[in-house]
Amino acid sequence: MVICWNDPVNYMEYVTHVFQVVFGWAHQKAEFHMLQVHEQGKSVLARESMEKAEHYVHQLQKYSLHATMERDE
Amino acid sequence: MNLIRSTRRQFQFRLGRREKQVLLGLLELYPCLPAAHQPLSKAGGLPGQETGQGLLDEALAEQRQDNRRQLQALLADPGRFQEEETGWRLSLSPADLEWLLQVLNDIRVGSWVLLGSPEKRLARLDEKTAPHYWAMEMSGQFQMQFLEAIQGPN
Repeated sequence: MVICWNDPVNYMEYVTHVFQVVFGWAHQKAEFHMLQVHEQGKSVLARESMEKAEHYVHQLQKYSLHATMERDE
Repeated sequence: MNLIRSTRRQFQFRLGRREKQVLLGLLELYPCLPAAHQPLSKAGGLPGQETGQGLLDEALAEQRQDNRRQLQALLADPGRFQEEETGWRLSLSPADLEWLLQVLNDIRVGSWVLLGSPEKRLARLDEKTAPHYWAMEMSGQFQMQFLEAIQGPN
């Protein structure tokens, strides 16, 4: 799973924008996940193969977001 | 800084003289985030995690070098900033704007890390923390204005 974690430094608008760019999501979906990060501390952004998940984590970290890859329990 | 014109191929901003100085001063700080700043996984236990972490660190380091090179090219390009009567006109392509957002966020998050990653606003500043706080806030200001330009009027 690709997870984005909350932090107090990234702007909400910026996080929404990055989700749109990295995943190609519409603004509404990107904003939904951004709010999940903000309110619940994290959001699962994707469930993918190792290779694809690594790619997404790299893309998100390139934008300095706090994103990691975790096992899907 | 104001957006004065946007087309599919180009954004043009008007900056005051002081604003240009501030923007260039900020960009000089890049890269601000420490290398190998983030783990690939929090909980761990992923197959091949060590290799994956090494590849991630390498890819991010490469990315920073590319951004640094692109930044130097942008700053050296005489067509980017055109002097006007009351300040400067900055021209950027959509791709320029996208990586400039990454660069500014590296400076914002990196300055926050240098402040000790505080959860709340600092109660007081001193000689050591004030420059990082300034960089964090000012890069955020430019980021928000660039984001508004990308997203257009709502």
